[in-house]
Order: sequence, then structure tokens, then C-alpha cells
Amino acid sequence: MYAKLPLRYKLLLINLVTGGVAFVCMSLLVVLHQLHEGRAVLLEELRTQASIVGDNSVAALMFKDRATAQQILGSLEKSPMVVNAVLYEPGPKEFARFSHPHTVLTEPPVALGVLLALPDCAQFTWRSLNLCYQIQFKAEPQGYLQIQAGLQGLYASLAKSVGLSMLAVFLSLLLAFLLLNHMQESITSPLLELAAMMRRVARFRDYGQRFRVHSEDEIGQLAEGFNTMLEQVQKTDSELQQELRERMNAELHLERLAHYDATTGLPNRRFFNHQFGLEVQAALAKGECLGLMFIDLDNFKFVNDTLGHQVGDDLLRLTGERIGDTLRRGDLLCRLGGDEFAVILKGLAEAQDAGLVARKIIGALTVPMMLSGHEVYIGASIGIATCPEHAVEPDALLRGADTAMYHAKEKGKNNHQFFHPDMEGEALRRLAMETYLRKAVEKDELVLHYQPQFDVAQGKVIGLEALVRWQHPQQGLLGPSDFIPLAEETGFIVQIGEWALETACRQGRQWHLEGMALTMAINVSGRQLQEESFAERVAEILGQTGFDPRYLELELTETIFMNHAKLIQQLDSLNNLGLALVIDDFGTGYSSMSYLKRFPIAKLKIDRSFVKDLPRNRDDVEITKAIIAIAQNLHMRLVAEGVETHEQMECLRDNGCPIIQGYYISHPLEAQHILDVWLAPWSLAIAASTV
Amino acid sequence: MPVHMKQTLLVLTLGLLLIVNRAYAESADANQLKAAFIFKFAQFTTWAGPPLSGSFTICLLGGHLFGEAFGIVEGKSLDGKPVAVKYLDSADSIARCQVAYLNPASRKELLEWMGRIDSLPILTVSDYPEASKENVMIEFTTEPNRITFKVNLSAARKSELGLSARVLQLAQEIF
Repeated sequence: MYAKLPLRYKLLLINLVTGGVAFVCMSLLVVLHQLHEGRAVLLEELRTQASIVGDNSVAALMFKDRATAQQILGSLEKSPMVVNAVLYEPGPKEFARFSHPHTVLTEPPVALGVLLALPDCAQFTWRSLNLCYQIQFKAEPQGYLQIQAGLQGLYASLAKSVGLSMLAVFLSLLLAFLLLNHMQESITSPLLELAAMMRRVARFRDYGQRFRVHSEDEIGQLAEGFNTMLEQVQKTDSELQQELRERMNAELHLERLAHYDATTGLPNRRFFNHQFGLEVQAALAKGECLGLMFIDLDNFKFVNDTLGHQVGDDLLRLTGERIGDTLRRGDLLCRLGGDEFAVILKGLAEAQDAGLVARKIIGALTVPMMLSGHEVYIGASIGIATCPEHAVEPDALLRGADTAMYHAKEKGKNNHQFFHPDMEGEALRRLAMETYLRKAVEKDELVLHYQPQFDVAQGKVIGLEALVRWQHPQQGLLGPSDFIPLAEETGFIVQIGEWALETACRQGRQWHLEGMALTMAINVSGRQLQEESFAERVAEILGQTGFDPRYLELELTETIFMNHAKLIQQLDSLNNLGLALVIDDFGTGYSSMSYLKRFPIAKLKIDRSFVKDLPRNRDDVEITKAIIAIAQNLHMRLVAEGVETHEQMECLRDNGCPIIQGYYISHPLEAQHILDVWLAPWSLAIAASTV
Repeated sequence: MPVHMKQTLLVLTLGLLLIVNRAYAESADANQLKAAFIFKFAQFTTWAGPPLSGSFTICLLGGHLFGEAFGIVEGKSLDGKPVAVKYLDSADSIARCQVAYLNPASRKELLEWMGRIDSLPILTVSDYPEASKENVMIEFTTEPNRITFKVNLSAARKSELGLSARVLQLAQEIF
């Protein structure tokens, strides 16, 4: 209960109790002292009185004058405390007696004999003082005077004392109380203030509050301690806040990083994935038309490889800006990765408006960009799918736009295509094909067919071209045009190419061992050349298979010269292996004669398009003759492709290109069949006809 | 004589003796009282100068009946001096006394004695009636239980004797 009292009352209580106790003790001591003193004084007084009266009555006692003795005793009446007095003559025999008329005591006096036994002849009882006095005359005892005095007077005065002291105590306590009431403030009020402040701090978490220190005593120290503590807390708190802020910033940053593309500053694929579904839902809910565009940059790789990644990044950023500028507020532009962008067009009036936007974008991108001093041209292939026309499911829309974009690419790039349901099947087919294709290598569904290259002058097969076929489980045997483009897009061509090279080399090796010295030509896609380790891989495969590199021909199309920066190193490395580099479909690509000079080309293949109309088409004849001349003059080997008729063969032969390849000689056949061809007497017939 | 008669006689004799003894005793007692009284009185008295001899002399003038009675005070000391009791026939050598108890046969004898004692530093005590009128300092009367006395203070003064007020207060009369 005491503990629940407020501090000021505690203080008051403590002080009053201690004060009270002190006062009471003091009073008690004083009273006791007074009692003691009073008794002593009383004793003295009584003794004095006894001695006076006794001495006075010595004569009466000696002369046995009772009357006078009585009279003398009677003077004791003046002393109110004296109850009775008895004069004894020697014996002791009572001689005279006095009893106070007013002062009465019920207690009988102590017997003289008892008194005489006591050292000072005096005895205190609770109510009376008894003493005796020996009356002497000329040093001879003459008798005794016994006096009894009542202590009422003493007690009365004591009681008065006690009463007064009690009053004094009470008044003192009252005074103390009043003083304390006033002075305890110096202790309690700073403490109360401190407590109030602490409550405030706790409630509002305001650690900036500081207590004004009034005194230098322990309370002051306490307050200072609190202040210090608050400072620390404040500091820690602000540090924590700071850290929290930093963390939040870091989190936001991470969020940003996670959802934003650093290069362009546009939202990234994650963000797009997250957002697209919501946008479709919103559009459906509002009954609005939503357009999705996939934008794929044409020739980005070329720029990236020729001018470097920094320029590539700048290109992407600039592209992002240009595309963004064509869009309205509310449309969302994201970079999906690589050179792919996605645009969400909201609130289209009609689906066709998306086409307008696409045209604007393409138009914006046709303007060349100045990047690091280079003038860069890029185009875009755009695929568009709209909701709800094409689909209402986000996944379907994504597929549709993707498919449309591929279509745009196939349609020659730098255009836009709307999704068409027909494409759907194509997309699915493509997807299926891709899936199957990946498994094809493992499942040995890929097979090489060989087409002989025949020298009509010598009348024999001098080499073979290995062509990849795919034995599709459902679709049957598929040719390269059915899956190679897909493979090139997915990059799977590398694995296919390696498999093809290995298989061809192995086969070639085997034929070599059987005595047939044939060259083996195999197509290499530009994609494969993009792998830096390509030359090493070729070397490895040659090593593994043991095929003589001098008999290996790698057929490359002219397009590679357009796209590869480090081509020269690659080709040199390959050349150093001892194999021959062959330009396939010569004359149809980005023709630049300079590469014939720069790159170590060993052989050219005349494209079938020039052969097809021989000998009727004069232009073709001239072109073919020109190609033959180049090859001859640059000491390159030559073979004509797509020879199907005798006339073609003759024309070519007559103009100096005796080595031909085509259906006229043979379709591409399996390895086993090639053996038969090699041994076929038909070859001899050819030789005969040349004569 | 027959036995019972002897007994009666014995009793009578004893009774008589007793009475006589008693009377004698009584008188002896009374004398002792007187002696005591006189001694006590002397105790309350102061002389101008010390006694001539080494002892304090109480003289009894007249009457030998006291005899042994006054023997009770003999040997006691007064003012540090041993008390001696002298029985005098006449007042011739009275000067040796400090205290004189006068027991005259007649007033004439008393006067005669007083003529000789007058102005001497001797405490005069007597129980002769009206003795104080004759300049006897202390005149006392024996009563059954006590002794009363009168004090002739001027006589005491004349002899340069001091009487304590304490004893004076007991006096019946002082003049």
C-alpha cells in the first residue's frame, strides 16, 4: 500500500514518521529526565525540610516537649507534598506525629526500620517518597524524623510536561508538515517532471526531448543520465531510421533493377510479364481494345558485333527513346531483352490503329542514328496482336504477337504484320518442330544424305556434299529448309552443325579407308561461325574422326561477310587447319568482290539460279562465264549447283566448269547408296559421251 | 506465728518495700530526670570562655539525696570535656563549676548562694519555686511526664552565658 503512494506523500510520511518518532523519543527522554530530576529534587527538598524540622525539634525531643514538637512538626503543613511526619525518640519510639490535613495518601508509610536499613534512608514507592532523618545534637543521635511525601504533585507536573511536550510535538510536526509540503517540491517536482517527460517520450517516441537539469544532486545526475540515454537512443533511432531508409532505398533499387532494364531505362521483361495480365484484365473490364506489339530490331547483331557493345547499348537506348516518343501517355514500352521490345497500346479506338502506330515506329527508326561517330541504320520487324479481336487470354495474345513478328521477319523485315489465325497453326507447328528438333539429334532422327559432285571431264565423282535430313516422326523426311532456319534462330544449328560435321567426317574417313579419295563438303551457317570456338571444334572433330582436313570443304554463304566482325580470324583459323572454304550460292548474296581478295576462299559454287536457264538465257550464260573466269583467274575451284539437264551440263562444261552437282547426276542419297553410285557403270557412260 | 500470718507479713513487707522502693525509685527517677534535664540544658548553653579545669563540672548545692542519680551524667562529655559532678556544701568553691544545681533549704540560703554566684559564668539551675526571681537562670518544675521551666535570660546575659533559642522556645516563660 505504501508502495502505491505518490512520492510526495511518501516523503511526507517518512518525514513525519521520523520526525514524530524523534520528537516523541526526545519528549520521552525529557519527561523521563524530568521524572528523575523531579524525584531527586523532591528528595533533596524533603530531606532539607526534614533536616530543618528535625533540627528544630531537637530540643523538644531532648526535653520531651511533645507539644512543642508537635508544633514544630506542624510547620510541615506549609509543604503540600508532605503527607505525614513522625518524630521518633531513641528506641525508636514515636514521639510526635504530623499528618497533613489536606494531602491524603492511602498508602501507608514505609516502616522506619526498613528505611533505616537503606543506605540513604530514603525509599521511593510509586506514590510516595519516604525518608528518615537522624536528629543529632552535638554529634549525638537524639532521634529520627520520618517523613512521607506524596508524589502526586510530581506526577501532576510531569503530566503537564507530557501534555505540553505532546502539544509541542504536534505543533512541530504540523510545522514540519507545512514546511515539508513546500520543500518536498524540490525533490518531487523534478522527479515528477522527469517521469512525465519519460512518459511523453515513450508515448510519442520523441527522443529529441531533453530534461532541463535544475540541480547538481542525484536527481540532477539522474536527469543527466536520462538525457545521455535519450541522446543515445535518439542517435540509435536516427541511425536505425537511416538504415531503414537505406534498406528501403536498396529494396526499391533492387525492385527497380529487377523490373527495369539498366541499358534503356525501360521496364524489363519481368515487369512486362507482371503488368500485361493486369492490362488485359483492365481492358476487358472496361470493354476497351488493347494492342500488343512485339518489336524486333533488324540487324542489331551486326551493329553490336561491328561497332561494339557500347554502341549497341546506345542504339538500344536511342531506339527505346524513339519508340517511346511515338507512343501516347498510358501506352507501355518495355524492353524484353536482346533486341526485342514490347508495346502495350491501351484504349485503341479500333484494332487497325495499332498498324498506324507500328508504321510510325518503323518510320521513326528509319532515320539513321549517329552513334560514336557512326551512322547506323536499323529497321524493325513488328508483330501485332489485339484484344479482344485476336484473343482474350494473355498467353494467346503473346503467342499471336510473337508469331506475327516472325512473320514480319520472314516477309522481309522492316514491316509490321497483324496476327492472323493461320499463323497460329504455324506458330504451334514451329514450336512443335523446335521441340522435336532438339530431340532429333539424340534420337538419331537426323541423317546425312550425300550429293555427289561429278567431274564430267574426268568422268568420276570427285566429292560429295553432305546434306542434313530430318526423319520427323510425324511429318516424314524433312529437308533443311524445313528446319534449318528454325535451328538458326534458336541457335540449335550449332549442335546440328557439329553433328553433321562429325558424321560427314566419319563417313568420309571410312570411304577414304575404302580407297575412295573424295572431298566432303558440308554447309556451315553463319550462326555457327559466331561461336568463337568454332575453329577449335572443327579441329577437334577432325582429330576425333581422323578425317584428312585437305579433303574437307566448308560451304559458306555470302551473307556471312555482311555480318561478322571477326570473320577474318575465324576463316584464317579454319584455313590453317588445311581445309577448303567454299562460297555457296555464289553471286546471289551481298556481292562484294573484295572479300574474295581478303578471305582465304578456295572454291566457288555457282548458284542454281544462274544454271537454271542455261544455255537459253544469254545473261545467265554471260554471268556464268564471268564467274568461271573469276574462279579461274583467282585460282579457285568451281562447281555448278542445280544442274538438272544435259544442256546445262554441256554449257557448263564447254565454258570451263566441268564439275557439276545436281539431280542430273544424282539426288542426295544415303551413304550406302553413294557407294552404288560410285560403282555404277553410268559414270563410264558419261565419260564416253564426252568424247 | 502461724504460716499464713508469716506469708501475709512477708507480702505486706514486700509491698511496703515496693512502695518505698517505688517512692524511692520514683524519687530516684525524678532525680535522674533532673540530672538529664540539667545536662541537656547545659548542652544548649554556651559559656564565654573555656572552663578553668579540664573537665566540665556540674555542682550540686544542697541535698544529698541525689547522690547516685546525677551519676548518670558523669562520664559524658560536654563540649569535648568530660563531665564531673561535685557535691558542694557551700558556695565557697562554686567558681570551679560551670553548672550549679541549687537545692536550698530556704529562700534565705538561696539568696545567700546567689549573692556569691552572681555574675559568675555559671549556669544556675533550680527547681526551688520562684527561683528565677532570685536571678536563677533556669527555674524548672517537674511534672508527671515532663519538666517545664522558666528562663531568666537577663541573668544569663549578665554572666555572659548564651542560651540556645531552641531551648528557649521550650520555656514557659522568659524574662
